[in-house]
Amino acid sequence: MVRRQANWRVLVSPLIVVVVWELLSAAGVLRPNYVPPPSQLGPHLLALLAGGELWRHLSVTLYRLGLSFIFALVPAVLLGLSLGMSRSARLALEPLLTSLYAIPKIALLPLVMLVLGVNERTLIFTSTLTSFVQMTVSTMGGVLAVDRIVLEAGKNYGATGWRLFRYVLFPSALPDIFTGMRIGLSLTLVLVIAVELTAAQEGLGAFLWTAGQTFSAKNLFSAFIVIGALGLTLTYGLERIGNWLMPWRERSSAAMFL
Amino acid sequence: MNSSMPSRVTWLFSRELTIPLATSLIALAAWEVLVHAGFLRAAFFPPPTNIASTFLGLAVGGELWVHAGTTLGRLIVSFLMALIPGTALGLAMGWWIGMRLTADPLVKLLFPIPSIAFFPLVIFYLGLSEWGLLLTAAITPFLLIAVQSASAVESLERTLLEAGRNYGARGRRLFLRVILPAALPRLFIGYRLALGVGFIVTVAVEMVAGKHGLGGFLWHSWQILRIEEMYVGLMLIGLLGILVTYGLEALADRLMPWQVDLLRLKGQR
Amino acid sequence: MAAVTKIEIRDVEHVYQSDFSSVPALASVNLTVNDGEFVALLGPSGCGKSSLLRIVAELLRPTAGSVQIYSSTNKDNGRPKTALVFQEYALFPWRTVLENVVFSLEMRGIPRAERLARAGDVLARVGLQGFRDAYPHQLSGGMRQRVGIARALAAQPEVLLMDEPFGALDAQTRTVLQEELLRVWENERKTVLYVTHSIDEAVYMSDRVVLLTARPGRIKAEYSVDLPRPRNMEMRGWNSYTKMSLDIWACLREEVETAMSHE
Repeated sequence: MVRRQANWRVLVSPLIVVVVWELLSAAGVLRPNYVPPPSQLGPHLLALLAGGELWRHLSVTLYRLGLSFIFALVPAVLLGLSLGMSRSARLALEPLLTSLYAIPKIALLPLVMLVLGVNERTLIFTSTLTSFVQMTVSTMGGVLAVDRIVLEAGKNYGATGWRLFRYVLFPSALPDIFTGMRIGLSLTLVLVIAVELTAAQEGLGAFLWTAGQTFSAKNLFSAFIVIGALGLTLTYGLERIGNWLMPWRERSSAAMFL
Repeated sequence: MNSSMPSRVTWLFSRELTIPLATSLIALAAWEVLVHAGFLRAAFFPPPTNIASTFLGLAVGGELWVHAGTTLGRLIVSFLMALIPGTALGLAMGWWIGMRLTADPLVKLLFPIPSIAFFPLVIFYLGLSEWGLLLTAAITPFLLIAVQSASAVESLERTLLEAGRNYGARGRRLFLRVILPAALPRLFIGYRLALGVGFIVTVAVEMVAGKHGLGGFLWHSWQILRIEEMYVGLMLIGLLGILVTYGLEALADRLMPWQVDLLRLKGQR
Repeated sequence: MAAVTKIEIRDVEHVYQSDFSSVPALASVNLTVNDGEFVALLGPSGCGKSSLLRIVAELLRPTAGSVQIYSSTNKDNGRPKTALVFQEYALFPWRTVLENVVFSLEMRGIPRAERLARAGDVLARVGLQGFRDAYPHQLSGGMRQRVGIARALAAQPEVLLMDEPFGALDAQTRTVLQEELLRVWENERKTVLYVTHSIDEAVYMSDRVVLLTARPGRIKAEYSVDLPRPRNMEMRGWNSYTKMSLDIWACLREEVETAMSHE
């Protein structure tokens, strides 16, 4: 398996794509109003960023994302841990949790709008719920997946009760908890943007949608790039953090998504 | 054979089934009571019995199944649109290093992009059409499947390949009889992820675009304030999600009898 | 020299209960182990020897009977009763080798400097000084088990319990580690309960081989191994060694066949 030998190779393909794109535009195959060439896109994007409008939308989306995540994190992990450790609690709450997990949270939006109204609160509530359900399920799974033998070893070597939890169970479950956080953030971002598309004035999703409605290809692509960059930063940034936090994890690239 | 394998009948009465069932029924009963007693607003939380009768009405009427069928159809089609090219690309990436060096960076660049963000882009060129919806729902799953498939090939045990070659399997036969079965479990993990994402995007787009399907039905019911119908829509979406997940699990079990509990959602024991 | 009782297992029975069935694992086991004795528990698959070990380790409560472990001094000196070495190593993947080894000391609240000193000493004894900061997943099977043994030794238990510790390793590594274990053991002569399904291993390592029947397990026979210590490879060629192994096999064979017919 090829390891990270030469990082520069990663850029070759994308660069080729950009170059080909530019050439096709220059050759007239791609009409600039329809598919703006990189040479025009770049400056346009920079102008938008410099102008401040795009930053505003970005920060609104980030704010919604971050807030939901923070609201959901501790309760979800706590609940997940409890469900993982107590069979009766798990059996009792399983139907509710499974149902919520199976439903794309955006489908819950109308119900929440009904009860809370069409406002920011609803959006935050729904996105918090998204993070919450995902992280609870992942945390619970992490606890259940702890190898019994590791627990036996812990007990045998003096870790009982609370200490068994703190020194053995929790570290064991941590990789899965972290994965849950990562997936939770991804899903929440999708939800936030989805809602912003039609139901919000501000936010990257709103900007993206408006760009489409006003037939501004340049805005469309710019918004798309920024959203993409956000997604990329979250995914790979978290992977880095995960590797730093848990150096004992075996680095397998695909395990990233589980 | 272990003497402790439970029979179907005993399982039916086990705690595994009775406790969740009991708590669900109690919760529904409590809901019913609270609404009638006035503690829950009927406008927001209609009693389960009303929802049930609305459901029956719609079910008999037929309209509901059209919506459900539409969503299911979209889900399956977009999934297949993602699965075939995705698996092909992923396997190619895993096997040929040239393919990996070219395609991998692009795939790694695109898959973290929130799937729904592709929607405005796609409809800009294709308009608000069925193809637009299907394509949007297929993109991120396609990328996910490609990544997982590549990884499946990369993590193949060398010894399996050696055994295959040593016992006479070459080229296409090596592929079909050794590589594919060996990679299948990992592939299915990718498929499960892809299906999850595809489902979310399908429903989201249906709600945004308001075009038939359960998402459209859900949104429309809310707009005309037919709340019981909204709940029915919600219920059906949930059921569809569970159905599809278990369907995939069943398929996995059938295709890979040697792999135990591969797709069981972690913690759903 | 009078033999001092270290472990007393009295009338221990164990039945595994589930929602659907009850499986008897052990039936009326009575065993006395003396201080400094190396006892091998030998038996067919499923005879309950691992269960018995876990009962002694107080990880499992027997459905009947009791286990008593006598401390070397009469007062409570904080030393744990038992330390288990697992077939699957059971190391904590998120801790380095050093951190794994000091785990029990950490749990007991022993100050850091002392922990490090003891760990260093134990790691040297198993030959892993250079790997203190490695993670388990970076080590080979044999090395991981050495860490497992080091962890057990560092805990300074009254009794050492070993559950087929070399079962997951290849034969050569196993042979080497058997010798190493004996060498390390000679030092302190701890009381050891060693579960194995290999007759050769049982005879080579122990002072006494205790044979268990097929499920539900009870003690079928005991063999006193009179080979001198320290043991060495040559003894495997001695007549007395061979004879004892064959005797044990003759007795064990019955049980193995019974166990196989259970499945």
